Amino acid sequence: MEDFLELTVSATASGCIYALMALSYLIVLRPTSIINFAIGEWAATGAFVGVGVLTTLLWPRLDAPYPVAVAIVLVVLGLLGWAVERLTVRPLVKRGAPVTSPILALLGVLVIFRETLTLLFGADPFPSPPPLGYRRLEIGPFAGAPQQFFIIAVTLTIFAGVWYFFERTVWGRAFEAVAINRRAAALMGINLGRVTALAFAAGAAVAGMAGLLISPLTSAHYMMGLPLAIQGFTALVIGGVGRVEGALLGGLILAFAEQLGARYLPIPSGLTLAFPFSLLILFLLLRPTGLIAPREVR
Amino acid sequence: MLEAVALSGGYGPSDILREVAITIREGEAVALLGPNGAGKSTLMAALTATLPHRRGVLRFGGEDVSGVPSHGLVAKGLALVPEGRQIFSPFSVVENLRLGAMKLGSRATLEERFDYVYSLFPRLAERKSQRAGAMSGGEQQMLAIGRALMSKPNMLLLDEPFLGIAPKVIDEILAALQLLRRDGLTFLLVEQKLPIALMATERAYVMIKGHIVLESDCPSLSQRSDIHDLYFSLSSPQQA
Repeated sequence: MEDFLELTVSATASGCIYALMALSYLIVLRPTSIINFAIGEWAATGAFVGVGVLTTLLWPRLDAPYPVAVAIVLVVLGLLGWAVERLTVRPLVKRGAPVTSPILALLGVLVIFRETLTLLFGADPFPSPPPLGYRRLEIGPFAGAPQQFFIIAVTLTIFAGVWYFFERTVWGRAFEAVAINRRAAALMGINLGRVTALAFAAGAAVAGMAGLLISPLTSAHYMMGLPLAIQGFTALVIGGVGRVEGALLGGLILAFAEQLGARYLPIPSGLTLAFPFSLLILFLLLRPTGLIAPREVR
Repeated sequence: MLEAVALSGGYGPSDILREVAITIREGEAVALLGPNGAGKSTLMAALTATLPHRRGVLRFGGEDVSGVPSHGLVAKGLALVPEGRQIFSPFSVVENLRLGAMKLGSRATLEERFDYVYSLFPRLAERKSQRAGAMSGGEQQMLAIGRALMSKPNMLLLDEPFLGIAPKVIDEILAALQLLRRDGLTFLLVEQKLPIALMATERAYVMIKGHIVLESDCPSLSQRSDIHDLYFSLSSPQQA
């Protein structure tokens, strides 16, 4: 039982990371119909920016408090996301390119980000200091690393904020309106270009947070992005692309399936990634809309 | 108030609109008549900058707005009630109306706009929290018009607002348009049926195959015995 409770904490924490990645996809996908696979590298960039601020990686130790590091990651990634939209997506949309063109261009962006990280930091992983230290933490019957509880708390806060934005604010409704009917949204006076730029900035900021949050557990590493991008995408497919809640649910289901499978099923350790992929294929075949269906349009 | 000069364009490489020229003065109610496929809705898209390929000059309120995007035109006071209503059906009536007022600044004007639309269409006030997609066609059309009015436009474009709507509701909407005119709103009404257009407007353009082929004031239009012949002789080969 103790074993199971510990696994619950660890699976919930991983699930939260997957959920943040799924949320990053979703924020961009809803108003633009663009799947942005570069978010894995954005998560890695977020991790390196965070580690850079918190340690001697880039310059003599700043001793920046953790909230400052969080703020810097959010701002830097937000600006990067905005710049990427301006430089790669907007020119294509303006020329009336099909929706696959920006997706391919963003794959190019993915490569640029990864190679830049390699050039700047080399191939070795960098340890990332956790904000709450290393001592084992027990909350009620649940026990785990403090970072795991920190991940859960921050993720739930981000999801609450994003949910509130989409469901309760005019700008959130405007984002949804663009997702439902671009032309009608433009006729309402909604600036489609601005919505797209904001979606990329917010999506990048969320991905950067996911990278910063997971880095104390995995270290910051130039190859950390790809698995996050894949797991986030799987979580998105499981939960459904229509609603914010779906991303959270999808992330948690994927992480629990992964960890319960690894612990209790006789799966060879080399095949652990096969489990989420099987889940991905299963959902694509049987329930392509995900568990939480989007609101009816008609 | 609104002037298009040699407006051409379409969705692909070939033009649907061919050098269209129309002028609508402040306070006027003008009809745009024409058969299916004449390019009326394409012209609406060109006037509101949602048409991807467009050439020519567009002036609104005495100002050249040729390069202004859709959201900029809304801010300048031009609103479109699009063909097929295009309401946000998963949203409630209130949410739809609120989105129509994206360009409004102050809270006071917002309240004033809600009151104005609800007084014009009391049925919308009764259905505030209803899902827009669950309403009847006529109510959805009232919502589409109300939503366009939320931005406090100086000029309203209406693209076939009476299509597929019960006669009783048509009368209600026509009455609302009369009230809007009295409040000084300029409008351009796209319509296929001549009698309805004659009831609501004072002047009309007839469009066929992307060209404006006739311009006339409504009283003389209703007296011209050949109008039906002209209209149908030119439209029937296309519809067949």
